[in-house]
Amino acid sequence: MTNWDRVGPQLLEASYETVYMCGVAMGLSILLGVPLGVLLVVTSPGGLKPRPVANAVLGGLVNFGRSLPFIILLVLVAPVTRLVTGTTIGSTATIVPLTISATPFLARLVETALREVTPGKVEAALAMGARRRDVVRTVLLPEARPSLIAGATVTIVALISYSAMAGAIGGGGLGDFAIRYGYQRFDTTLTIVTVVVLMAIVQVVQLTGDRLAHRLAHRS
Amino acid sequence: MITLSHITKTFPASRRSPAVTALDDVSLTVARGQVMGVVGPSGSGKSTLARCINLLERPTSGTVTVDGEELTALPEQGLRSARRRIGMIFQQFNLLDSRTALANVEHPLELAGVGRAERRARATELLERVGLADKLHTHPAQLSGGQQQRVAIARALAPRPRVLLCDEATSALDPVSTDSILALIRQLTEELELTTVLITHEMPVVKRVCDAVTLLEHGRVVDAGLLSEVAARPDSPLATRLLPPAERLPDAGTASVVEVTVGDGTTGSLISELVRRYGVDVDVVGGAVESIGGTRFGRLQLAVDGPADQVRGALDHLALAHLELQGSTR
Repeated sequence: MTNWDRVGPQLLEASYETVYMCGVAMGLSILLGVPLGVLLVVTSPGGLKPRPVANAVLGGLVNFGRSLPFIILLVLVAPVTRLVTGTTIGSTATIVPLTISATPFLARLVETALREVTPGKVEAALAMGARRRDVVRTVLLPEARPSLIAGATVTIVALISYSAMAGAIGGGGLGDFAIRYGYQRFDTTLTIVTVVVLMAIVQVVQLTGDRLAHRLAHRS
Repeated sequence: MITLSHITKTFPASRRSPAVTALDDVSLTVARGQVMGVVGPSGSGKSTLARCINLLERPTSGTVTVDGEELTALPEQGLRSARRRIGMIFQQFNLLDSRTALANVEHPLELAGVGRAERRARATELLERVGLADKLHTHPAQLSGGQQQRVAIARALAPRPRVLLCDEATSALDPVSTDSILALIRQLTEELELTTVLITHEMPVVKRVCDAVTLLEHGRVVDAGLLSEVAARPDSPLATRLLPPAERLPDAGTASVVEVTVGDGTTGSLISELVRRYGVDVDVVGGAVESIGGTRFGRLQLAVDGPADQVRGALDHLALAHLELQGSTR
C-alpha cells in the first residue's frame, strides 16, 4: 500500500525539517532562556543583586509562557510569526512559536540548575574579589553545567514533541508528514514509521545529553 | 594589622524569625604576624565576625581596618581589590567541582587579571608548597577532605594576601587531617608573614596554633588576650576552657586537697619549696600539664598533709604566691 519510492524522500525531507526547526528553536531558546534564567536567580531575594519587583515581573512572565498550552500559543502568536517570517505555514514559521514556548521552559530549568550550586562557592568567589558577572561566568554557569546540559536535553525533547503538534496546522516536519500522508490517507504503516523516526531522534538526543552531562560531572 | 572597632551586626526581622543581633559592639585587634583564635559556642557570632573582616557581611555599625585601610569606607571597586589581600578558607572548602586543583588555585588570579603562564606557575608552586605536587590535575571529588582544604589554602594564598581568615577550617576533618592542616596554617603564617584569624569552636585547635584568643558569647567579647596571659589568669573564662578545673577534687583521706594553677614549669620548685619551708607532705593527686602558647601550664591537685598549723602555712603560701586555690581544708 505504501509507495516507498515516492514517500521515502519526503520522509527524509520531513525529518530534516524537524531537525532544522528544533535545532534553530533550541539555539534561540538558549540565547534567550539562559540569560533569563540567570536573571531570575541573580535578582531573587538573597541573590547576587536582589531586585524584588523585576524578579516578580520576570517570574510572572515566565509562568504565563509556561501555562499556555502549545497548540493555543501556536494560534495566538500567529501575527507575530507573520511579522517575523512573512508566513504562518512551514517549518521556518514554526520556529517562532517553538522558541516562544521553549524559552520560559528552559529559563526555569536554568534557574533550578543554578540554585543547586552551593552558596559557599559563590561566597568563596566574592571573598576573592569577584564581580557579580565573574561569579555568574566562572562559578554559577560552570558549576551547574551538568544540570544545564540535562535541562537543555529535556527542552530539545519537548521541542520535538511540540514541533510534531505544529504539524496539525501545517507547520512542516515529521508531525505534518504523519498527518498528511499517514493519518489522512489511512496509511497506518507510514504513521508508525514516522513515530519510529521521531523516537530515534529523541533517543539520540537523550543519549547524547546524558553522556555529556555525565562526562562534565566530576563527582566520585 | 586588623582592627575591628565597635562592630555591631543586626540581621533584620524576616517573616520566619525576629531580628537577631549577631555581633554586639565587638572590638578586636590582631597584631601583625599573629594567629588569633576566635572561639565560642555555636551561634555566638564567630562566623559573622569572620565575614565582617572581609565585608562578606557588612556590619550594621562600626569600622573594619585591615593593613591600615578602612574597608568599611571603601567603594565597591576598592573593596574588591582589598579582598584580594585577604585570603579565606571555609569549613566546607568551597572548591569548584568543575575545575581541577590547579584551575581552582588559578581562579582568584584569573579574577585579578593575571596572565595564563604566570597563573599556572604560581598555582603550581603553591600546590607544591601545600604538598599536592602530584594532584595538580585532580578534581576535588577525587581528593580527601584534608587534601581539599590544602587546595583551598593554596587558592586563598594565590593572590599573595597579607591576611588569612579560617572559618571553622578543620571542623569537617578527621583528627589526623586537622593536625596537619593546623600545622600547615601555622607554618605558612610564619613563612609568608601572614596575619591569621582562626574561627573555631574547638579549644584544642586554639591551644595548638594560636598566639592570642578571643572568646565570644551571644555576640559579645567575653574574654581576650594572649594565650600565655589568659592561661595565667586561672579564673578567667578562657583559662577555664583552656585548662578545665577538676570537676571534683580527689579524696585524699586526712590531707587537705587544693587545686593550683602553675605556669612556666614551676611545678617542681613549688612542691619542694612547700616541703622545705613548712615541713608538710605534698602529693600530686591529679591534674594536667599542657603547653599553651609556647608556655607550660598546669592545673594540679595537691594533697597537703601534716600538722594543722603547718598545713595552714603552706596553703597561705600558695595563696600569697597568686596561685589559684580551691578546695577543702580538713
